[in-house]
Amino acid sequence: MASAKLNKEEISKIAYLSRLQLTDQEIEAAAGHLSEILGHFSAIQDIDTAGIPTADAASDLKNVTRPDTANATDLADPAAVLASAPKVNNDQIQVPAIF
Amino acid sequence: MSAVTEVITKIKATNDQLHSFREVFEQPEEGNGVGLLQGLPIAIKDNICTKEGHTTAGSQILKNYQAPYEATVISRVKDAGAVIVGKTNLDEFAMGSSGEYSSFEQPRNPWDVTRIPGGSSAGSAVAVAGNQVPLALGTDTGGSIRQPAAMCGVVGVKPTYGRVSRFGAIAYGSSLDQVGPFAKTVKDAARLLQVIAGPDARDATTSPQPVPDYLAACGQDIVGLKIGVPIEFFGDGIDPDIAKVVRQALDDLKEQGAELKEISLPLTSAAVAVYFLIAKAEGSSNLARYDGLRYGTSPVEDADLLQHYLQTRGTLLGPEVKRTLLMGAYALAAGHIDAWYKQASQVRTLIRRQYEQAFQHLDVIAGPTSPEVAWKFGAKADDPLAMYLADALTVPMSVAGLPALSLPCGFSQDLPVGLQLTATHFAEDKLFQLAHAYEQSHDWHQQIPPNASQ
Repeated sequence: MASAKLNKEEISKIAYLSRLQLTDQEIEAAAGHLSEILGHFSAIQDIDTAGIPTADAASDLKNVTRPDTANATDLADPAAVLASAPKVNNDQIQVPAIF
Repeated sequence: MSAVTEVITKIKATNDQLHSFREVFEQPEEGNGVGLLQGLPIAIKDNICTKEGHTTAGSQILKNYQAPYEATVISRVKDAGAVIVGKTNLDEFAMGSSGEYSSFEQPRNPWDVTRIPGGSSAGSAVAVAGNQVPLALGTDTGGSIRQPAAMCGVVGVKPTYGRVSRFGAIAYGSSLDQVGPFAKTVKDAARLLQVIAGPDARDATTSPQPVPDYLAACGQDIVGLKIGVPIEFFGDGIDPDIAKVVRQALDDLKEQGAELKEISLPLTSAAVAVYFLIAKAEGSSNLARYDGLRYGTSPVEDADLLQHYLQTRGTLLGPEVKRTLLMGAYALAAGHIDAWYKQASQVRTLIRRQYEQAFQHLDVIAGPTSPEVAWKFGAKADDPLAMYLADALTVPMSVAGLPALSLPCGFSQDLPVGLQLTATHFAEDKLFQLAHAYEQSHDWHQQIPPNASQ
């Protein structure tokens, strides 16, 4: 059974993986809250689920397909897209370099 | 257009007190459609994309976001003649049960402005309860339509998973989210669901099942309808006064000819854990896209990419959203996924089976919508577990993908109490049939909150 206790190092690690900068105060509060919440939730680990499938499909639908055709009404107006971008340069969205 | 102008004047006169609207459309696009919603003003939860105005999801990270496309539900209500008058406040990214996690103004309960309206579709519930608009759209992942509807004394419906298109609705838990109606009366809620329900080529999770005539279901008699009453819905953690009010409503339904049958759904107490583990896991994945690069906003200047991500998200996301990212990432991490996410998903299968078995002999399952009435602002502010447990009676249906409706059934401490009805998949017509029969033999829906618009 997984432990429900989270320490500050574990919170810092998952915060970094989630690309989330937290203050020391937030890390400390999160360690307390998540330990309490998961401590409460750990009761479900006592439920016998041997041989029970996971509920991966939220409905009975299977293999939903559509014809692979371009549809002009599915396209957003480029001006509207650019208007919502924080930084625009020469009609292109400007982002920091990846490398 | 004069009816709509009047509504906008009413909204503006009361919004400083209720804070239900984040944005009001002063000159709304005139409805050009002809249909069931002809000329009716409607408010839209601000996590549903509209081309008009902004779509913020209640978050600072989308403060300036103007959607380049509109949600399918928006096109449908416009085609039916509705007029969109504004966007309503919500808990940030629909995560919360009180409205207090909005990063904008705090929506207030029109029955007592020192109390929360419920959440996350807080503003939509307040707008309808406060007589600002007759109709509103919300979204419900684990109770976000039903719980604020109960706390504000209006009708709210979470449709079956797959009944309504989510195209253009900002995702929280993708295996749970549904868009649904708020209204003062059952018939108006039925009318709005009639318009938005049905398959959509832009949302592959919508069902091709035919949409029944919901309006025709309102008015059918309920003699012989079998209602299951789970003992767990009246047990520990449920305010005894709410239990009393709801029991009285069930006795009234029996008087009208429905049959009551006591049942047991023993996995009810596991549903909060199952729901939050799954919703937070899905939420943490869905929220990876908010980085303030392609849209939205960022306070970061001239940082490298990693610093940009860390600082933008760290600065602009609020406490419950951060909890979602952390809990979700934890539950999905290697070494944890089997004990948390996978176990929750397996128990979810068991909960579904429990309901499937129950519905072999029942038409509807009934109980309270919320274990407590609207609480005072701040009462659960630093206690996220208490906030989660407030969803104990709405999350089981979400986990099972079932339709559920909340309607007013009385008062406790002068605050509204909601009766929650649940049916089997795609049987929303049964909910409307029963709810309408109850509503018409009472006058709860005619009660006006002290802080409503005149």
